[in-house]
Amino acid sequence: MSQSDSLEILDSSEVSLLDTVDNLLNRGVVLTGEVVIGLAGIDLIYLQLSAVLCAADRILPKKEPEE
Amino acid sequence: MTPILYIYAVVDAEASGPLGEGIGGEPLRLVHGGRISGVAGDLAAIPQASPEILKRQDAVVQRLAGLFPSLLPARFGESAADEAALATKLAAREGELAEALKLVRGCVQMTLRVFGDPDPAPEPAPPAAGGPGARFLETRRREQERMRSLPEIGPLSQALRPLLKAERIERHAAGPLLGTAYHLVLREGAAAYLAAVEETRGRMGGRRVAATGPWPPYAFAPGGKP
Repeated sequence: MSQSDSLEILDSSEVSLLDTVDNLLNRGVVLTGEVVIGLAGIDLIYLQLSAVLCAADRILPKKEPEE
Repeated sequence: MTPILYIYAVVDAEASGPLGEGIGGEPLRLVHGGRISGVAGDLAAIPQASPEILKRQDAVVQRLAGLFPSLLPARFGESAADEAALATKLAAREGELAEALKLVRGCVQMTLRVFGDPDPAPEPAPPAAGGPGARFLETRRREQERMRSLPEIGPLSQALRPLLKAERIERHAAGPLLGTAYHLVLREGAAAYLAAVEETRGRMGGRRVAATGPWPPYAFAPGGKP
């Protein structure tokens, strides 16, 4: 993605959605540290960012506990 | 599927009005753990992240923020098995959460994203006194300090300084997004903040800034990053 592309994106109304994604997935109080979240719908947002905004523990599939 | 208690926020006072409903239309309630309370509701399962559900949760948190003098949003997906489990988690971190709630009282978060080329890396400092271990640690300290600063927006930082109660900076190693500053300002200072950003826009040396807010203070949760 070129710089002008990303500036174009962030000049659009999408900036508010990107902040919402950053705030909710990457900030905020973590009480449990055991959260697992699916990827549905998030891939599209990643494509519009030059930096990964989402913490890995929010998106990685949970390992099933071994028997 | 086991139902869960889904957590929206952490507070330290009673609400000034009805808590209303959560993202699934479920009634919200306070769960107390020591001096701290969680705002939570029953859901069938942890929701799947999507732009729509994230916006819906942010709307719930924004509404809740208007009901409490001080509120820390929970990260998306936070849940507990039941009220007893949530109360235990809150009580275990009571001191840390109380301190963070004190900091954000009456405040909102403004987010400033800075785009453009970085300033040239600073000249390497003369070797610190001491052995190789001390020099290594000193170099690491300087690197970490740089990752928590945005000298490229000096004039803007100066203009905003009187409005800030706290600041968190996250600098990026590469890319057009140079860094993000999360600023904690008094709720009534949000308009002045945006005006100061506009005022300084022409003095940024070719760099671009995008300011958004006011938001609930997501970036000022204890133990969060950066």
